[in-house]
Amino acid sequence: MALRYALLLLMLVFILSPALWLFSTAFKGQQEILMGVPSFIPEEPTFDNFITAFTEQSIFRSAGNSLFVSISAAVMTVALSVPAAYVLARFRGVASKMVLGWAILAQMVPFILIIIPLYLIVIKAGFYNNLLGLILVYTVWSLPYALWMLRNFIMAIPIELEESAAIDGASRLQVIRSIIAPLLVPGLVVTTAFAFINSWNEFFFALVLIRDPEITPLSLLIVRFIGANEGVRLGPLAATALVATIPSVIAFAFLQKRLSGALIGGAVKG
Amino acid sequence: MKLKRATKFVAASSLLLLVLASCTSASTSSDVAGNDSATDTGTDTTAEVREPVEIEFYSLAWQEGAIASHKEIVDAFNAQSEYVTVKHVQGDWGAIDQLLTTCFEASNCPDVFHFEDGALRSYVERGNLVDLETLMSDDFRASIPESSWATAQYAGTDGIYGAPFLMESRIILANKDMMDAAGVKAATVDDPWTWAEFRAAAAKMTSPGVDGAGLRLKGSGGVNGIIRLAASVGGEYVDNSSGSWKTVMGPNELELPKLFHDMIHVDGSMSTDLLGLSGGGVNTMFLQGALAMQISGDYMRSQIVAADPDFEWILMPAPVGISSKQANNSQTMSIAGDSDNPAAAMEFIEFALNAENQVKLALGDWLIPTATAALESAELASAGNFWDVSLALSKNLDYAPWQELATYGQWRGAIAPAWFDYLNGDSSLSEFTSRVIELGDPALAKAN
Repeated sequence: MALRYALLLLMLVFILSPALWLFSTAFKGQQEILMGVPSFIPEEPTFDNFITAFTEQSIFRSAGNSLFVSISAAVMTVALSVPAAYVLARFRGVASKMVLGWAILAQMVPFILIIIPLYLIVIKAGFYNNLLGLILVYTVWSLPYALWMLRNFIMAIPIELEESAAIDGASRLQVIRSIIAPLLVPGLVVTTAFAFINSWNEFFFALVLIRDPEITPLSLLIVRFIGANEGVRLGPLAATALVATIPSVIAFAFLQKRLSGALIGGAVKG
Repeated sequence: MKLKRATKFVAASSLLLLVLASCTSASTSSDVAGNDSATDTGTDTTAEVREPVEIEFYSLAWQEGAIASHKEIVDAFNAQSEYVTVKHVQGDWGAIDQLLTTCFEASNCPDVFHFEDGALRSYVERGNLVDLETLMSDDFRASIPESSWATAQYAGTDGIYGAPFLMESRIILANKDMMDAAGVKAATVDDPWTWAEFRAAAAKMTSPGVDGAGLRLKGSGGVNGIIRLAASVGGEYVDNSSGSWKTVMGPNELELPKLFHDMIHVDGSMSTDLLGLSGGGVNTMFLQGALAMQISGDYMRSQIVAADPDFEWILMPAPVGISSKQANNSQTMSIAGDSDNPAAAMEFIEFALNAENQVKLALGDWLIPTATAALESAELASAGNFWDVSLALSKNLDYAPWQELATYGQWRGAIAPAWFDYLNGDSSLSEFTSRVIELGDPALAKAN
């Protein structure tokens, strides 16, 4: 038992150390950081890094942009995935197999191969320097994986439940709304979280599709504290990164129970 | 009926005249805004009608002072320019290559972008950049020495593709107290150390827990930094005199690696522990008193001052060999080939890089300006923190043959493991020599 706890503690330290270091660095003064004092507790805790980050880089505005894009992309991904995943799970024909094959293939295509054609399409479509363009790209990017995940969740729901409802006179839409949807909540939570985090952390699409400072997402701001010659402004970088982790932490705190259950549920069904 | 037809004719003619007039006016305006020769000749453009244009400036400033000076310069330009508005867009050094590679494909790059001389070559070869020589005024050309312009000119291509504005030289930063305690006389601009004197000084300052000197190999300031310094001993490392690039590892090229190897493994005045650190990591050791000297770039002064204003330090020139030369490395401002307003973009570059503004940019980034008047600026020379020494050392910055090499970055990365192994004591000098050639030549072949 003691060994188990010791191993758990070791694992906890391993997982938490970088997060703690980030938290600690965000509150350290510039002098303390540059002097390389190796301690988790700042000698003289300060908000200077946050002040610098917020005054220099419009963190609030960018966080708002990221939040808007990520929530929109997550909602769109789920909205498009649910009906498609239902069809793929319940109607197994050649078309379904082809779509599933496409979904796998789409995830195998190296990112670098599609960026230039995608960039050109976004410009031609008039979505360049536009958050809507970013939302559409993130939705398309998350869609294949979301489709697979939700399909597996739907397949795990016994078809007999739908058949019973149908015998009782429920239409297909009613079946989806009243039977599938409530049972699919854990899957929806996981898929939404996946699509949200995917969009929240994404950097490269944002780099090439957004250049207007007014609509810059947060992921582009963080790297601005890294300079030439491997120079890094660690304090403001840590402060911005800390701010960037807040939505994920809040989301996990609220969804943790559903998430862990859903991940296990989705993992074993196929 | 006739009257009606005549009215129609008059109306149509008037419309045609109006359209023609507006076309003429538009083309005149676009000539002025787009291909403004007035900038070249210094003609007064205030009397001409110009279309207001907006251009984008993609800045890579990342230090607090540098960001502020870039923004200040953009604001000052916008305040004084009647027709051109510059939009400041901040980017980052880590992703500029990816951004440019992508946006050039769609002809959608920022009009003016900030980068560095060595990285521009591949874009020049692809025809992505505007030749500034055709746009810049004579005064602007004359304000920056030809040796600096040479860093943005590339063999096999005509023209100048970047306006150089900030240079970095490799210098020695030393702990003054340790130097005094060891009785080591500091090197000066007029009396720099030889590499042998540097080695002797490092040995003298070495004590338990303190390395005489620190050297790193990681990152662009690592192997690249040594190669830049090797110009002082005639080390060139690459050669294309035969028409194709080859790695060269002769006695000149081996002089510095052998010296550092001996300092580590014979004198014990350098540690292998620092080889894998970043510049900031080595500086931390320096500030903590674990290092008496570090070879670094002059931008590192900002980190020392920010970390500990009371720290007693001294800046000295890099050691010399057959000369005091070291390879130049400039930051640049370039104009994208697909810019709709190259003349306006040039107008902004000339304003941003005038001597007065270069002083601001230099102070913001702790780097050396290129404009002659900025190099002679009393404000800069009297700014303390060894600015006078840094400015004096700018005369040593010179053009190196590898700056012609389009795949220099790849080559440098490919040979780095051989340097690590040799300085770490894991390979002999002959193994090091053959490995550098073996690892480096494939990267050079891509440039042939």
